[in-house]
Amino acid sequence: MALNSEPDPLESISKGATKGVIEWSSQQIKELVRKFNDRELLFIEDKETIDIVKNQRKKPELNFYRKYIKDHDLRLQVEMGFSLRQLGNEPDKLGDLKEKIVRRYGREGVYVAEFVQLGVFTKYASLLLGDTQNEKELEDGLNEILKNIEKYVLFVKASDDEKRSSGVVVSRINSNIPRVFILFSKGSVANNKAKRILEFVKTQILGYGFQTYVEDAQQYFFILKSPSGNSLVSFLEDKKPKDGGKF
Amino acid sequence: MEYVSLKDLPKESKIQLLIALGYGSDGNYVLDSNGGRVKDKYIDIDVTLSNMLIFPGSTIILDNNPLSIASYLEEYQDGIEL
Repeated sequence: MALNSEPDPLESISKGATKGVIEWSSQQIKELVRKFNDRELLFIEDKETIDIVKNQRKKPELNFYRKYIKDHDLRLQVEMGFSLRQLGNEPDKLGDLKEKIVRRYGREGVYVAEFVQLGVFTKYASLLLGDTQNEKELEDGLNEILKNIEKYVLFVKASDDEKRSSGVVVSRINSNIPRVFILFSKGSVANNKAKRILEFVKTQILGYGFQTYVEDAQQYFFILKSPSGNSLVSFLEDKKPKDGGKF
Repeated sequence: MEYVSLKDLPKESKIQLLIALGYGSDGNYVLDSNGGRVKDKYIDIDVTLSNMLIFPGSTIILDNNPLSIASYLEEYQDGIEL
């Protein structure tokens, strides 16, 4: 069905594209290419995809992170966390996007995106906001955890081997001595498992305090070093240059 | 910026559009003027007729996914206003 009888060759395209199969006449293609060359339009398979990116870029939360995360690749991984959130009810698209994140950034890229998708980064950032003294501390704190996500975060899954995960947490804390470690879980099975892991960890490490947050089906355990006076941001102090500069 | 959906467009019309833009297709993949498959520069996969996105300017053809779109916007921050 050609639509070249329409007075405006492009009007039928914008209307018809959502109504069913259409064909483009050579006249329509010529006019589309002219507008394309004048940068008045773009061609896209599925408009929903571009809307996802547009909508997330309007969100104050993402713009807040973009202010403090200067590395383009890290910013994109964070942004993909917002895309994953929006695709939450579309398992095929969710899986496809994760595959593409892995393709570009490896498994760690997906960990960062999921860290954002699940709201754990939001929780961490809000704690950091209340605990930092200046913009530099905040920026360093946000970037440090994203760059070393496996060092600071464990996502507990229902299928995880509890004993092994407990050992991993203790080992990471004892070998890295991080000033913050986050255990995150979602769903009753994983949440119960995370609780038992935390109970075990408590018996194995010294000098750490614990904060628990529960939101709907999600559970966050923040394991914080030196609760008796040092703040959350003090984990950055290990990174101070030896010349006495602030960071 | 107007978005023209390719979703319900028959394969033949997509190929005609690509030809008009200086590209081509083997029926499944987008081909460049030398007959080679066009790759999404951000995720290094061959772009298919069934999931392509064509940005104006230098005619950049990508796989239609949020990562490639966001990557394009990061690279060409002033290049396009969606």
